Amino acid sequence: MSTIAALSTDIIERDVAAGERPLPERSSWLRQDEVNNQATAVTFLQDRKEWLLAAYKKLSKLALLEADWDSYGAEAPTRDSIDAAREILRALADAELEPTSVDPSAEGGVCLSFQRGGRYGDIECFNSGGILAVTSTGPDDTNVWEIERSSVQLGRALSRIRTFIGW
Amino acid sequence: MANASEKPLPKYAAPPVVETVLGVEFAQLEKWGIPYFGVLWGRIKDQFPKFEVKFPLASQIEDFGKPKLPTQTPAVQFMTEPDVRCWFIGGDDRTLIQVQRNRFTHNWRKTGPADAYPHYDGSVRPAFQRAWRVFLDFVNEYQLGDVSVLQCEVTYINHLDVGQVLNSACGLQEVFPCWSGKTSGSFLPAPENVGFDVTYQMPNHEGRLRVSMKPAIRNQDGQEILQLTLTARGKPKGSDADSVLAWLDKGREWVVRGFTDFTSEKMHRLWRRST
Repeated sequence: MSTIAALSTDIIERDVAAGERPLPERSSWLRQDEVNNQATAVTFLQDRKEWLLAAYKKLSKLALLEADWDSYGAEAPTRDSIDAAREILRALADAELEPTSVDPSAEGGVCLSFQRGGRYGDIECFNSGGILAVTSTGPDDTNVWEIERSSVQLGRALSRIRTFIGW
Repeated sequence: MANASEKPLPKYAAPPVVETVLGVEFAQLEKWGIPYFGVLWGRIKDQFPKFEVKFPLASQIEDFGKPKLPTQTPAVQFMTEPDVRCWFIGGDDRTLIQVQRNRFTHNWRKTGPADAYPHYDGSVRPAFQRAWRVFLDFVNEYQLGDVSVLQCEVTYINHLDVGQVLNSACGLQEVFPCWSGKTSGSFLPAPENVGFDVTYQMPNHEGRLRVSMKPAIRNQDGQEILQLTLTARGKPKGSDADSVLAWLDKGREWVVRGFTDFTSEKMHRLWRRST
């Protein structure tokens, strides 16, 4: 059975709710190992972003954390959760969406959070491989949803957080 | 460039190279199918116990004809099964083999600050030679077709730590002699970011050297770097192993001499050039 494969990688599913700012297409998210035979992982800087540099340095520090870093028995972030967070940071940079902070998650993993006034959003990359997105204005108004590690789902989550935060 | 081959190759005691790539692109092996990745892995698993599946790389054959205008070709292809590329990774993460239906590549990469570049003649070339032999024997044994070599490639990836560069040189013009940083007027401020893509033709259409410099962040440690990549590609005289190795030697010479020409003597001292 033959299949037809679209070779253009720029075709991306669009499902952006009214009023949400669309995100850039995936072509700018490609990693170096997807386009050439380089095996050393780097992120090319299209535009120098100080916050992205700082966030990457923070991630490399999180990679050195040991278990029980919070003295409450939290797991240290795994390489997979850090890689996932790095991938999301790249998407954030393309989307011009700067996280307020990059922190280890008490539930094991990495948390990228966004805050403005009383509005809060975050994306948590867990050691288990799961990724959760959150928007909240308080305990009575919190939405949590799971996202898959795909550019489409990530794009939707970032659009939703950006709209919610009001950036 | 005249008589350059007669001069000894420049040598560095502390070169900034973090990765080498020796590769071959060949005509598609039509009989190659996904199960063969597993069969090949079984043969090399002792040495390359890990694998990762990647998107296949597009063909990158150097063309020496007239520049071609981009044409509107339909971006659709009929395939009997998905096309993939497999990385087979050594236990120490330093070496890996990349295989796809029309490519074979051997990489060495630095995994930490203590890793020293193992040098071409003593390690990189023999490692490629051994792995290429295994691949050719495998293709032959399973009668997957003739490996008709279209092109060889040598790539050296260098990481120049931005902090170290700024400490050793006053600016980019003291690292790369081709860059002056000057403008004809006074309107523009100092550039925020600088990158280069420069190509050089090897004589008699033997190949092409591509030099690329791009600002980047190294994922492993978050270090801000300038990635200087030198890639030599060209067609060997034949598809046999000797011809492939002879072209790789030529490509490596162009990469090393090109690297030396492209960077400043001030940086050569930092990298402890000896010849």
